[in-house]
Amino acid sequence: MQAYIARRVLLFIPTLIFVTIVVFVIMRVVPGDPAQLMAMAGGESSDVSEERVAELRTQLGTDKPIHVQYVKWVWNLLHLDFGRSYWFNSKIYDDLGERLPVTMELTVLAVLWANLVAIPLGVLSAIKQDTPADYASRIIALLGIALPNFWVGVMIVFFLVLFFNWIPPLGYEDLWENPVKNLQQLMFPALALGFSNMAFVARVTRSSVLEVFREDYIRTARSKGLAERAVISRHALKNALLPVITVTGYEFGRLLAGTVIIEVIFVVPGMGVFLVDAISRRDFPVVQAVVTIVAVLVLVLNLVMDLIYAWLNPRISYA
Amino acid sequence: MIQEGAGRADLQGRAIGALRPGRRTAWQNVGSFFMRKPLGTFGAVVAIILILVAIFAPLIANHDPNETNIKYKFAKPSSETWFGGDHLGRDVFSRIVYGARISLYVGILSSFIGSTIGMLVGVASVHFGGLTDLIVQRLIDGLMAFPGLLLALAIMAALGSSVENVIIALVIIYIPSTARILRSQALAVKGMDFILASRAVGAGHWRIMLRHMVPNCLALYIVIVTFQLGGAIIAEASLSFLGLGSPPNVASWGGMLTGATGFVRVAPGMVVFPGLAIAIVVFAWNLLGDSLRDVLDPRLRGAR
Repeated sequence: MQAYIARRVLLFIPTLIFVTIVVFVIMRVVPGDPAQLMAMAGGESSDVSEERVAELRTQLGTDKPIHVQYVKWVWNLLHLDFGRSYWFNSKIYDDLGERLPVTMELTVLAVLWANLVAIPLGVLSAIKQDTPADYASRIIALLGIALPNFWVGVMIVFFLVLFFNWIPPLGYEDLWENPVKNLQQLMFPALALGFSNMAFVARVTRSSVLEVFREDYIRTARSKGLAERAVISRHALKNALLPVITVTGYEFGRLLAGTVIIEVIFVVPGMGVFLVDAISRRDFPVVQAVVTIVAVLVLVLNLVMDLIYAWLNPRISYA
Repeated sequence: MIQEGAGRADLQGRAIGALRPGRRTAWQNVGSFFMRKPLGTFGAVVAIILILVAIFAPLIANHDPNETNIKYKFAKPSSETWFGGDHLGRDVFSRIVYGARISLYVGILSSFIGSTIGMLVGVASVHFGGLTDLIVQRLIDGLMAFPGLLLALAIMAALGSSVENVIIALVIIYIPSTARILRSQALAVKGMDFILASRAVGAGHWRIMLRHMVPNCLALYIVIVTFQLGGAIIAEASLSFLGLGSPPNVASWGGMLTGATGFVRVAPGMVVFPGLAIAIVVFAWNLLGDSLRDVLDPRLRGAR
């Protein structure tokens, strides 16, 4: 167990380094000189003087060899310095501080409702296997997996406007300042975002419960006369929900990235909108920062989930 | 299980047949698939319809997809404009028909190129083993650490938006995931006696990999391609919706939805029909993939 944890944490480091290299390389593939772009973004149109570009180049450090640039960038990252936006010349760190909590809240809400619905649905589906209730919940699960979540988002907007003539309040109010307005704004994006997650968790729960039902200890529990309710809640669910917990963790990471498109549909000012706007403005430091942060968050989340799984399930040997 | 000297076209049939007792022809396999998997058959029918629509788009569409006609601006569905008109007076139906081409073009190319390279990487990684395998697997770990859409966005940001760049981005995403899944299959194949036997008679690296390991991974490969094709259609639609995929002048399902939510009241068709096209096609493709997986490789059940 300890050896497993040590190995898992050790392998995490090269992966982390590789991820930063990938982001860095992708952002260097960009045609054109960042200094030129930056000078042009300053509103000085295309006829930028050579001296100004050279000056910016020194300022950005892009006149140095590429490996020096990389090390400097990682060094700054470690100090939470993400550089400045080409476009607004604002500190990216400050922007992230405003936007990351929004995306986090949206993702947490989505995972929350998805699990609250999916787990009972999956359990019900497994207990009543091959009955109409089972078929209905399996169809819901299948739809959730097959329908792209941005389509679900667009359809939610569509039905809200068409049938209730109601547009969800756009923009964003802080959760602590105005919780009611905040939830009104994030409710529907969270609904759209969590839909596929709900379907997936329901499917995992169902197959996991069905699997546990075949175990010897369930037969023992039943044969000693335990009520079915107790068998399910005290014996079956404890084991069956193990994979569900880890799936939820991995899904959280996937949803963190999935918010991009949902945020654009519902105009939620989170990381996703920040990223898409930055891409269309060719504001590469912002793109680089957002992609790195989300990827690192996902990596850390996966590491934590692996460790939690090992801790919760000591039966598995990690050779 | 695998005999030498048979034609290349038969490889696929054998890979499928090998998983079942008794040898059957490809057509018998198709027939039994239709009988046993009605949902999968529905998926296959929709897939074929989509391919036909894409090929015969100019014959099916009754308007030029980019022709703007002020008469059709926000037009209601009618005998002239079946699905109505959009905010620029373009015919929604014709744009959906032509949009099928983009979806399929991106879907087919990215899933085939991505999974083929991925399969070769996975097989080679297992075949050479040792340090090669360790390094390749760490690289795959690193690439898979990115959520797919995020990596695609980063690549699109660097390359600029065009249909071809969407394919490049998706190929880069599909290589590691295919390689990872096929690696486990290749590991199982590597332990079999016929690999040892072919090595004993002096077969080279290429021969062992391409003639012995790859054919035994084909069933799984077909399942993966099917799922990735559906996924690629969603990804292309998502990127185009964000304005980062196909350029706005190209009719694509995702692009048609961009800004369409703003016109829900005047022209609901602008949202409903492209949305339905994406949903139906992706749903059908998933059903097909599900059934193919059940038939070809039951071990994958529950995988996404």
